[in-house]
Amino acid sequence: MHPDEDLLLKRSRDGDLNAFEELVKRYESKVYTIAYRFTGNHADAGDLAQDAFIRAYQALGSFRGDASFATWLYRIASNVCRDELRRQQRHKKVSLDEMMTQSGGNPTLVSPGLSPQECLEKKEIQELVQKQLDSLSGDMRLILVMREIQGLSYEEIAVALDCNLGTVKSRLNRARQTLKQRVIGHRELFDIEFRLPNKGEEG
Amino acid sequence: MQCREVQDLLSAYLDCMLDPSEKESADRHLEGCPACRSELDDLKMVVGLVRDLPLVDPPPEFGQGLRRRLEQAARPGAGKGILPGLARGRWSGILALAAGFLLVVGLAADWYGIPGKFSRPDRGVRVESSSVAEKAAPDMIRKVDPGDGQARDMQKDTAGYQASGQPAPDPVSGAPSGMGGGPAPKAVQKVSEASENTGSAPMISLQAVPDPGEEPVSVQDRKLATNGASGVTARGTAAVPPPEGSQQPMQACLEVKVPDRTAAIKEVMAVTQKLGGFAAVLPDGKEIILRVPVEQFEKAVADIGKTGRVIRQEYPPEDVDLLKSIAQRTGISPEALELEKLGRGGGGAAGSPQPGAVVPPAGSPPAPAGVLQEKKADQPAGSGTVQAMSTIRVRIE
Repeated sequence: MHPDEDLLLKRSRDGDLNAFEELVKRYESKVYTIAYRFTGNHADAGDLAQDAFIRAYQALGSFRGDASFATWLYRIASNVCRDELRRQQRHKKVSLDEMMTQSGGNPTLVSPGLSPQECLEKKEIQELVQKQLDSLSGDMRLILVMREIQGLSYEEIAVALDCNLGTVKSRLNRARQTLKQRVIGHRELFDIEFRLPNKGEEG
Repeated sequence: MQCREVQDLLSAYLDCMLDPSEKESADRHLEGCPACRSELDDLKMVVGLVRDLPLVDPPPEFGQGLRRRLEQAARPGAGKGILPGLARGRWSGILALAAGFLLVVGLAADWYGIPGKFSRPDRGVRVESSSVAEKAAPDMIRKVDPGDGQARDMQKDTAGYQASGQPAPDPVSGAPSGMGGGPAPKAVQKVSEASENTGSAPMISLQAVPDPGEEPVSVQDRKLATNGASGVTARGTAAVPPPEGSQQPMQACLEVKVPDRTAAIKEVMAVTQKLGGFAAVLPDGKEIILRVPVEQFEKAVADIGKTGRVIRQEYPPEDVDLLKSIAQRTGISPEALELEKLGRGGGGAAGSPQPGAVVPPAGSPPAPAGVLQEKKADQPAGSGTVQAMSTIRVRIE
């Protein structure tokens, strides 16, 4: 927590955009990451991340400092994702997740064209994970982003998604299991000597 | 425990969210089951992979685009000239006060048969609790949008509860905290509590606008918010405020015909909030009194007009005091109708919870005028510049 944050907040509340931009710079990566992990692409991530900052800017008057500014801001970010998901579901457009599953995620990682002898580097593992994340339904992606990326507790997720703890448990379980199957399933295409990290290690 | 059962619990197990007996059963099973242990390891690994995903930096154009949008966005809720201290704590006490006040007046009017909009044979049908709930604590309440069937269900439930004399279920999870205080008190709780004592009485809706919750609606306006049923159409980004016009408070009376009153009311509230104003729905559920900064007056009138078909539009001259005439008609004091003053009277530093704001319970002899005056006397010095406000009365048919 930066000591000058209070001052930046105060100035931002008074409409000082430069002060607010200072705050933006400090947190934009995390906010953008939340949006990116949820949407799977930079264009949508940019839109949602900007939305989050705008919402935060306009709601500054109601930020009371009982949570840290970062926590408050990240909650707005995941709420923006949640609202976007609901909006799409409501208007019955082709949802992001439908588009994702139709395209099958990133073809270069999934197609058999990739040499099984190739050794995956960490970056490629991460791309694999993101692509399989993209292939999940919006609800699953959202809850995973909230839990794993944003680090919300089960209770906090229940509040954000307006459901009870039991639902959070089962949804999170289903999302994680599905992701696990897809990540591990695709791993089999690659070098058998290749080991995904952390396997067998105690967390 | 069987493998299947255990595997359904693995996720909660990882997060230590199992109750002790479940955990014990799972532990015992895992000790003796390599297959499930392997599943657990896999799960742990994948969760770890997701958590270890790196931060993604936004592209360079992100900052520029954001700056552009910020410049056009409405100012933060607690700026110069706009009501300072919109912290939830303050608002909840004030809302409770005003809600209790309006409720008491409404009840009195009903009981004493004061003619006018208040006297209705059908009590207990009150529409606004759902939207109050939604506005006051947006990320706690399931979001309902205009025309969304959920909104109607919530209304129906509340009305049903009221008719039976039960207090409406508090839409905010958790027990209602004491009035006027408590950590992060929610405005909706106050309104609910105000109604608890009244059983079947009509419930008053009072909206804190701008929203004491976290997230204003204006950003969502960017997205297409069409809903054919309600006739609410999308609006563009929050407009650049119109050039400084006359500083004299202006007044308008609008009558709008809409297919969906609830949706239209929400729309009007959203408009008001977006423009930095305040609004209250009158107990008959058809009229809204709103106050917006004078420079937003024309925009407010224009935006409200978009919610439906305008069948009447009048601008009472300045010598007709609109607030006073509404006050006379409804029996609410003009001070209460100058909604923005309620906030300033809160007292205390911005962000501090409202200390024991007294809300007269409905049964007791109402002394709201007295309490209200006390609150005004409490104004902290330098609580902010006085914002010239204009008044708009909207009747929704």
